[in-house]
Amino acid sequence: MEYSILIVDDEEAILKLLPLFLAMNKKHTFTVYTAINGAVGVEVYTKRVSEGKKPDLVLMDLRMPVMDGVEATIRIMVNDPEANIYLFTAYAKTEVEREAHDAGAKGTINKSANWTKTVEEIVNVLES
Amino acid sequence: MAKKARILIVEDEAIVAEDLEMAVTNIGYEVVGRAASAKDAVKKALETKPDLVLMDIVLRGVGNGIDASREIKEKMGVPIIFLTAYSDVELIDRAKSTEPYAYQVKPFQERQLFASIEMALYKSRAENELIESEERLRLVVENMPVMLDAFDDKGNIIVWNSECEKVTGFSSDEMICNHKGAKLLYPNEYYKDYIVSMLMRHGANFRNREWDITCKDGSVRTISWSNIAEKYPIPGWYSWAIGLDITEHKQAEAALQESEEKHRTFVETMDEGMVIADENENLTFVNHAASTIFGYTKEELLGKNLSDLTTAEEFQRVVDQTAIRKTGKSSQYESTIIRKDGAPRITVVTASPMMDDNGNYQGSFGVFRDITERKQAENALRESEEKYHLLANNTVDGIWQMNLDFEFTYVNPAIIPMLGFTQEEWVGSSLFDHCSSEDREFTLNLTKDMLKRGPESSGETFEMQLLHKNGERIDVEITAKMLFDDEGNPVGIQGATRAITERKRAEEKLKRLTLSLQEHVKELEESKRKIAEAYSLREYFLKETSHRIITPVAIIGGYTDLLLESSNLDDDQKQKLQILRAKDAEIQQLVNDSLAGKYLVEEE
Repeated sequence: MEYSILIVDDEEAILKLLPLFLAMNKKHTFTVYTAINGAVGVEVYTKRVSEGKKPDLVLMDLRMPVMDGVEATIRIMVNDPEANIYLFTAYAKTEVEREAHDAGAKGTINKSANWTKTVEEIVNVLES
Repeated sequence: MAKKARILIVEDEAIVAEDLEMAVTNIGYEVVGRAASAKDAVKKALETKPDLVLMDIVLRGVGNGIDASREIKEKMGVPIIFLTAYSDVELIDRAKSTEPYAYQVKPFQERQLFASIEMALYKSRAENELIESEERLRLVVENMPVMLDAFDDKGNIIVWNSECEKVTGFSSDEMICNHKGAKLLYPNEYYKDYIVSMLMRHGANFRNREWDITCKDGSVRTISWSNIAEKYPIPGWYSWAIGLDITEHKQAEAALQESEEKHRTFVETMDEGMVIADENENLTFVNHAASTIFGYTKEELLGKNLSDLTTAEEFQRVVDQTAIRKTGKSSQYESTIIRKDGAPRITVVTASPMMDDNGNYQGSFGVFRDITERKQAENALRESEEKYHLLANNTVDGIWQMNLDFEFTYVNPAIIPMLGFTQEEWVGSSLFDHCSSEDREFTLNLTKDMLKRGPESSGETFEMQLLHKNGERIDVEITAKMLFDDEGNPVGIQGATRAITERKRAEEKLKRLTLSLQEHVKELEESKRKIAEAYSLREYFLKETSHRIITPVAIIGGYTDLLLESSNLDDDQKQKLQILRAKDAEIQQLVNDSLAGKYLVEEE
């Protein structure tokens, strides 16, 4: 299958690594859009939606300059209540995550050193 | 006749007189004087008081023997023998009227004279005796303390003796032949008619009939009359009767009857049973109360033997008591009788012996009361008191009483272990010897309070400290109540005391524990706060730090994995990369464990 993913994270290395590991997946092919902070993320999402290329999944980091993950989630949800936004964060059980979930994020995918595992989780989410 | 008869000779012819004197003296009489005239005869008769007078009818001077005789007879009762010659026939006739005893014809013979004198003397004596006897009887009849009256055929009173006069106040003059006599005695018309008709019915044949007569002074007296004239008629009296004034007797009778009535009423209405038993224990008298107590009627009781009315063993005691009484002593004892319905009743008996004049036991007189209920009440009370004592002596709490001066009048044995005093030491001591001065204050105020509230209030409960004999202060809880008599006057205080040392200790402990618990809770809250702080810190850590560590860790791991994917790695390079990868994984694990709180415990 072909999936499109928008990843919003302020760490460049993360933005580079994700597509590399996604490419290793034999089952599906992925198109990866990136954004360096929440504001860019909202921009890119909106643009892609307007192009008819709505991302199948948004991976949203929480701590970002300019606009954090909670605000970005809210902004995206406002325009598109069906947006499939997942938090992409180190640890889920904080207040901020809760806020984000309240805002509309559907779940959390944990960042870890094991990208293979991360990719598996992403695939599960997309397949379900 | 031992004494010589004394003769007076009245004869005017001296020689005859001389002869007479000699003859009389010869016969054996004494001549006490000689008179020749009527006047002299009377004089001498009065002087000498002879037993007999020999009187010549014809005398010298004024008057003859008949005249003299008459005069003498008027003054004295002396027998007179007339001396007469035949020629004095006319005189003899006249002489009859003077009632001479005999005539002696002159000339006389000594023998004749003797016979005449003797006869005359004898007759005279007999007459005198008769007169005396009659006089005696007359005096008796006249003066006896028995009323005597006699009636003629018309009902008039013809005899009214002095007792009649004395009793009625009416003199015989007032009553004799007084047609209104009956009215005087019976002024009430109806009563008079009643008496008259009653007398007509019984005529002259009744004894001891009582009726009332009214006396001259208006008082009424009761007379008991008897009339036996029918059987013993008295010539000249149509009827006669005797009467006894029984007024006082009747009054005494009435008084006695009243007294007897009073006594009988008393005996019959008294609550105590009264019986008389003879020497064989048979009941000869029972009063009303006795019949009630025994449950039999009087008729059923009389004649019963005491052994019928009690058990065999009780009867033995009765016999023992009778034995005491036979010695003349009274006895008092309790005895159980069996009532008619079979119920046993306890009685208390006081019995006195009845002895005859010779000191023989005739029987006993007993007074008794049924004390069954009283005994039951006494038993119940005693049982209740015993229970109370049992309770008081065995309870652990002190039970006490004190007077209004706060001195103890009673305490139960619990005082010994509680305060170390014996009962003897405690009783008589003052409450204030055993407590502090503040407690004394408190006690006095409390007492004033209880007094004010009076008999209706219930007890007061309060805590105090009392001194043990060894000086130790003992915590106690006291319940006290003021006692009042029937008139509402305070008579003392009574109550119970409980040592509450244990309880007090427990209370103290609880207080301490509560305090420490509060402290502990405070500490816990402090800890919680610290933990919360710690958690907030953790939150902060989580928030601020995890992201900053994990992101680089993820990047390192990603690039290392990618590098490891390269095909042109020699073993050494591969190994070095694998080590890098492993260390990165360690860091990741460390951070995850920290976030999971694993190290928090160790830190503490």
